[in-house]
Amino acid sequence: MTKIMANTTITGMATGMNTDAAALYRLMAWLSPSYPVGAFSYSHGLEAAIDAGEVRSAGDVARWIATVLEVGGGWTDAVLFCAAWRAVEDPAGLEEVAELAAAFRATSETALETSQQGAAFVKVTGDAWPDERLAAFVAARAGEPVAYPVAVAVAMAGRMPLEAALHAYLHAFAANLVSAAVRTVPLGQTDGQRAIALLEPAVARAASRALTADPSRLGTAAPLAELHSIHHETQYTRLFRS
Amino acid sequence: MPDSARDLTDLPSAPAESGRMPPRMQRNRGAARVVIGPAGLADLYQKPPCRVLFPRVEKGEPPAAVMVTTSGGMTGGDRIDYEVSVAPGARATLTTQAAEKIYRSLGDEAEMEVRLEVGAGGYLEWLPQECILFNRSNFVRHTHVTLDPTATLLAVEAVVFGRTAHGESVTECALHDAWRIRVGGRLRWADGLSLDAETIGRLHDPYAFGGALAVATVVVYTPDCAARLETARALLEKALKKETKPAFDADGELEPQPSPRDTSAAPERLKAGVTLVSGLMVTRFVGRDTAELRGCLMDYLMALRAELTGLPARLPRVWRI
Repeated sequence: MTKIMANTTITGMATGMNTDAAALYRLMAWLSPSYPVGAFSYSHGLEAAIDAGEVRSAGDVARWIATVLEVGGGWTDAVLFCAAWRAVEDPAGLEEVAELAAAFRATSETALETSQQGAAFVKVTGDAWPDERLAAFVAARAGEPVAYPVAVAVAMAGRMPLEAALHAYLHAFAANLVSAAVRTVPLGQTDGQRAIALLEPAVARAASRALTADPSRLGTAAPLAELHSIHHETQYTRLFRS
Repeated sequence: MPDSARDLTDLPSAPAESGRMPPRMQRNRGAARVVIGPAGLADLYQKPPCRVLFPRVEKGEPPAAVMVTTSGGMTGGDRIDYEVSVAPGARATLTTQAAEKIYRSLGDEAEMEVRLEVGAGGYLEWLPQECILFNRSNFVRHTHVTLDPTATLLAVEAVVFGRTAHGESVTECALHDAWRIRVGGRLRWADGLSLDAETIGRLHDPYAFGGALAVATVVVYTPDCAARLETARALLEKALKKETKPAFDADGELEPQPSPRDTSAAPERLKAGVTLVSGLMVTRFVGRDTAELRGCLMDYLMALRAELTGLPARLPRVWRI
């Protein structure tokens, strides 16, 4: 990854910093759990899987998240992230990806999860790191939902390497769900990190497959994880919005 | 050498284990186009192996059309195009005469493209029977739906992995089953179910399919979908209760519920849920086999139909055979 970062030339950044360092800085800031997109309030349906007794240990947590990353909503995000990244200089193509990304949502709550985080991301990024391209993209959506992976990809594309950015995006997705599980199962902090460690190969596999996946053949294969998200809608007591 | 290589790929698929798959040299390119107007059938085009039958329906029922694939199924290289158009104010019920069998392929895709269009105030029931994916089949289906904002749609698509009644297990299979639904010109909902050589093991992943081999998606659009979600939940719960018997073990004791440790086992019962996405109602069913899925799916579809249209709670006769 260091090699990828070092080989990249980044232009248009008037930070005075080494451009690779600026890219790394933004990558870490924008995908940090403290970036105010409200990620902590979403579990993608994991809370319902825990409530149903189907996810009980750090191992279960890692397996559930790996399924979502490789054939569920995380996979969808990975493929759409790459598609938006590659279309960033083509407004018509980007709009097509943005429309697909907003529509490609299995459940009510996962749709909310992506559109709310997408809206928060473009707002705070536009305020703190004003950027014409991101602003033009938001204007072109004309109030239609902006899916979170598309928002992040538009802010980053061409300014850092795709492979590294995708890896960081998927790590943030996985780490956020582990944090939800730590609070809900509950798990100890060390078990939470064990789950993160267990997820390393799943993130790598999802990222590497997404880089070569055909977005016109986008599909998932996790109907039971989708049912967890659907059943979360009617769950009696809940901490999370998804 | 190039010639012999080409000859090999042009050979008909070898018969399946059961010997039931007809060998064929030519690829089938079938099509059926049905246009329903306020007075009934307005236009029809059919190209073998597709045929369309128009059974008599009871008074008050929408006109019905039944799609027949005379070849009995599809294999690699085959393609079928279905197009159904319901004019403003018109109603129609479309179904298929039998389950669509997707036979083993030597590599090429069996492709199905479905285009459904419903005009202002129109109503379409798209109720094809399930697709049965044989081991080593390769199936791609794209379903494009175009709806006027005042139209109503009740649609189902079901997929079964292997001939579950024969105990056939699917170890190799490729599937891409995609939906694109546009309402008033905007893409509102997109979905895809995809499995390939790399991901086929997810059929036994406890959080993906959990051993379930029969899945179905029901999509409903009507202008006030959001107001009907609670009703749909109640109808689904009722259909599930009817199908679900308490799980007793050999001693007649109630089994402890659930059994999450048994990660390779099939789900202990049919699972389903309904959600509202972008103003559409989407219901998912995940069942062990066709037998488990079908009864509940039929009950739910009938109840939804009655709820949406005030028509009697019934399905086309072919679903009952």
